[in-house]
Amino acid sequence: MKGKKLIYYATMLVAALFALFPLFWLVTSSLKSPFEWFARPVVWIPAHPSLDSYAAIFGLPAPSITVVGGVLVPSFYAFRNSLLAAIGTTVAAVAIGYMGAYSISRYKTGGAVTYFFVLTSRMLPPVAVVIPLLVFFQTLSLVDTVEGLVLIYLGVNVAFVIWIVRGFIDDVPKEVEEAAALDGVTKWSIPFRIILPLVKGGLAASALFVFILSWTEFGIALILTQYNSTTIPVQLFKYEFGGGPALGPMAALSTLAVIPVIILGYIIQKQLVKGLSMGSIRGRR
Amino acid sequence: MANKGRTSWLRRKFGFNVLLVMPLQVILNFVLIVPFALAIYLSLTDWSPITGPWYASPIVGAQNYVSILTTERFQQAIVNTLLIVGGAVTLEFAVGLVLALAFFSWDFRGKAVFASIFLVPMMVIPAISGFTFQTIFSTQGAINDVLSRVSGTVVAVDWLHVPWSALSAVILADAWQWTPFMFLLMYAGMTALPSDPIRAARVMGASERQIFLRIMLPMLRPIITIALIIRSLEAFKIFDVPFIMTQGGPGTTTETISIFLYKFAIQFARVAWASAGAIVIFIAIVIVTLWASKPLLPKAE
Amino acid sequence: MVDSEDIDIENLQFFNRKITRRQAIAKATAAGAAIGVAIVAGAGGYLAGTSVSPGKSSTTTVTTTATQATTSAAGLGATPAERAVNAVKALKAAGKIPAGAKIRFLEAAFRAGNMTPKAGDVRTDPYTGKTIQTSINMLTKWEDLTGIPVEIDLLNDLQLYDKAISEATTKAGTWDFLGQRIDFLVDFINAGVALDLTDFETKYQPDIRTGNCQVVPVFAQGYYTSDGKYWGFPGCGDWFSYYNRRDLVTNPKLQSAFETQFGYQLPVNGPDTWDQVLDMARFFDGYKGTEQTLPDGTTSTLRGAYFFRDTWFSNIEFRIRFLELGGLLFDSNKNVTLDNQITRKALQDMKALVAYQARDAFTSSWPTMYPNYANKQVFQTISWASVAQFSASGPVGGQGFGVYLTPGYKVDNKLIRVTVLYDQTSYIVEKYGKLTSAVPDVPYLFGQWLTDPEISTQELANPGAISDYFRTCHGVDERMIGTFFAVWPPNPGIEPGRRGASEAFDVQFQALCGTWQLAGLHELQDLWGTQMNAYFTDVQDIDTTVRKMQQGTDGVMDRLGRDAQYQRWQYVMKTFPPALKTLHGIS
Repeated sequence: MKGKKLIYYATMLVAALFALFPLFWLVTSSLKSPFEWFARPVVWIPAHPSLDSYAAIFGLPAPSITVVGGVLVPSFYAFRNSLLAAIGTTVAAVAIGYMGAYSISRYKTGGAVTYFFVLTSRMLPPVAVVIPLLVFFQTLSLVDTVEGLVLIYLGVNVAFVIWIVRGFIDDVPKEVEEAAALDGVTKWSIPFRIILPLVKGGLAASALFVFILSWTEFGIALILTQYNSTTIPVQLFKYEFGGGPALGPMAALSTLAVIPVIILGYIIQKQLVKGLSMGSIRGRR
Repeated sequence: MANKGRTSWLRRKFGFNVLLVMPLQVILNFVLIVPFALAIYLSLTDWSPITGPWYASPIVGAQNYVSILTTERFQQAIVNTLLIVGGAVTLEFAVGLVLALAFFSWDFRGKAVFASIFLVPMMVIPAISGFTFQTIFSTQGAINDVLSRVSGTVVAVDWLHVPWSALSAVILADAWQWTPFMFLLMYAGMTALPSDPIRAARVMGASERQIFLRIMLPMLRPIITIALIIRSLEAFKIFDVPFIMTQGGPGTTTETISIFLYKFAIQFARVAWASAGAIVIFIAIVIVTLWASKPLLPKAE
Repeated sequence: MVDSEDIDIENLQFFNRKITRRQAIAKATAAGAAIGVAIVAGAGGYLAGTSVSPGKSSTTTVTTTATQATTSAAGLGATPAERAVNAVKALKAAGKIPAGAKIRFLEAAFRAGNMTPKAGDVRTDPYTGKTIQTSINMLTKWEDLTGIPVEIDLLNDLQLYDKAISEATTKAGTWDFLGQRIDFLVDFINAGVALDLTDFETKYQPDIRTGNCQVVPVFAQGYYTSDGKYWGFPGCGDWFSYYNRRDLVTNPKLQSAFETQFGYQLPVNGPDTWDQVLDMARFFDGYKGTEQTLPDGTTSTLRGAYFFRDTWFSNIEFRIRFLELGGLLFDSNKNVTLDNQITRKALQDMKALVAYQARDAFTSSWPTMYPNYANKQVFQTISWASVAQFSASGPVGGQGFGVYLTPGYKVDNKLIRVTVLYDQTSYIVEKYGKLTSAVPDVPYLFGQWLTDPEISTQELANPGAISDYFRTCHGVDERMIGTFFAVWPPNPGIEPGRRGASEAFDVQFQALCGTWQLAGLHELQDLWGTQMNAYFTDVQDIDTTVRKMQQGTDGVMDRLGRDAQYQRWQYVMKTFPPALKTLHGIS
């Protein structure tokens, strides 16, 4: 029995190491000096760990980064924009997606066509439509606005909410609604007062996915953002060190960018596994 | 589920459901249909931003479609993408399933902690994981360094300079990032399985292997199907990781459809031509997905 | 010409980030229409997707000619910078600059270090403990002088082109002043993003094509001039030179060993030909002598070379070798001439070096090379000046550095060297820019001020980094020699008694050639680069490579107008160095 346990933990530990190794690389890179960023053979542990990369991304004095001519762009705005875009998208996607999922699940609205139409929103490489999108958004003055980003992220990510939440609603027995109806709850209130609390897990799971996808999106943001709405993934490419990527500041910003998602993931985690396990994405019988 | 034949009180109130689905429909139309319609229009013109305004560009018909479909580099991008999708999704599925099974059937402490750790890769910005994996796979990078230390000789494999290993490296990077997603879905699926059949089989003396193959796997089929569809759709769009890791090289052997379209639509300003390619790809994906997901689609009543 | 009366005040409201009532109504109508269409499509489109045509995008009326100034150029000042500042003041006094005007400036991220540190910032070099004086804040200084603020936006230089193309698509006018790779100037002109600066040049005299401190003529003609018109300002000319380990080539034992092996003297002052480069790479590859001892006592094994093989640098080196071997892109019948022995020879020679290269040269470029060179892992490389600074300040300490000239080929027993400027990120004025549309003079004048020979010497962020050193007078400016050229190790072999690298510059200028100003150069470079890369990595053979390069190039030429491209090539040939002109019989 003890030997078995050992195997269990060893397996999990190996998997965990594999999962964490690139992250380890990211964190150590953020503490390296410019000399070590691209050193070959690779430097595993920085000889003199320094927080200069973190200072540099917030425009604070960072002596070692300026040796070859570093770039100092404060990242507060990128964080703000990314947070606004990701939270805005998540909230809107969950709200709109929930209503849509309820309608699709309970009323079969639009039948297979609507459901498949939602699926198609995740089929096209975003780079394929980004120029037409740019033309279209320009006519509406939505280029370089966080609102514009929220709209487009909403469009491409809401499908996740539909997929996940629809399955959850399917699993809620019909009798629950019929009983509520008999109790005098109006059809308008049923999805919000009766069903919503029952599918919280699915909403949490889909919220996390939508948040991650809009938080890390790069291709669309690169084209659609300039001054006012630069997000973190685009901001990463503003760190250059004399013509090449400034790996330290990039790693520092990415490390910081992981933190909000991990916190959100931790909060949601319980709901997540429990929620997903309600059957949901299993699809239809 | 509403039964056929019986007129449910829900079904009589048709207006309500349309109202609920309306915001969704509007946002999708607004963000997707309009630019997509514009892309179709542009694909029929010979417009490029360096030749004038798009609405003044003459319509040239299907010329772009013929031209891009006969372009060798585009064909190669499709093959590369299919290889990456096939490799990455298989790997993610296999590892995710095994890990989920271990999680499900083994009894050990700290599952919450391990689960949190396993989810971390999903949260890293793909562009930056491309940089990280480039460092890991470069000739004097982390992998060769470890191999050198272990073997005591200088290992200098050019992982990223040889087509098959460069492609494998891209697949591995994608698998690292998205195996957690598969793990999550598989684990969720397993915990949702009814426990009675498994217990009954165990009582009847079935081995763990038989239980997994004969009972669990068939019951997991729906979730496996949708997980494979979702991941394949997502992997098909892979861009950031190979773009930063290999720049599509060596040659164009790791150039994916997204990289190809990005280069030609944006960097080389051949918007009309690239739009035609995008539309062909889109139609192909729709057909394949329609076929693959047929059992999953709700049937209109 | 636009007089102050003609300036539409309503159109200037953008300065306060407001839109006028009329614009607001227009925008709201457009938005409403789009949403309405989306709703209709949503309600009716459950079974059939309705295609929707969006509203025609609004075109901006653009002023492209110089604003009539009240003062003549001569009266504005003695230097380009003085004229620029005084001209802005004059425009202001005449009421032609709207209140709240600001210049929006898109800059290559790596270059911003030259401009953004705070005035008088002093930093300590962590390795050497030396004090480094960083640059003054150029943008603040401009604002102090003229009262017009500059808002800077930064991006990776590889994506600057994408932004110019999206500006051409939307005509949004996000920026007024663009840092761009000037290689792609023809595309910017065709797209309408670049503003023709010819009138301004006449009026304000930036002294780029004329004057005592003009930019080296090949650059002025080959980079900022197209169709006889004037389009841009010199930005960061990252001058790449070739380096090798001088401490090794001056070692007598190695010299005699080399002579025994190859039958000629080790070229102490740098190889003259690419054949010698290959021999030296072969000779020094694997070297582990005493010079290779690192501070920690270990010995570093030397690789023969670190010449980048990523697509960008492959193009640069290919272009050098192709021209040196007497290659031309077009023959006189306007046929593309890439599928020939010259291309084959150039590519085969480049591939021969692969065996001795530090292999990371394929997937990474100079950021990996810096520590490689500094840690004594490569014998020779191509780099810009700061590699010396980087190596000197690193843990291993200064290396034996030698700068050498671009190697050449012997054609008809005559050595031909050609140098192309490797990475010229320059400035253009964006035609659609909001301030440009109102007063095009102001962003232009900002450019003239920023690239003034006096101002550019003040932009030195660090030794070895400079914004513009292709002014003919910089080479004799003591401050330039003291700050910029100081970090270039003197290579006495180039010309004894003269100043190291600055002397190398003089000689390099003799071999200088303008950029290949062609439409679609971005696409052509990608085509050539990926095909070469496939050849170097054994993905395809030389015949396939050369054939694909030829076919792809023919495709681009046909699509973008073969005649026009041929004309542009004729212009490029006019910027050839004397030796090449003689070879091809160009007057």
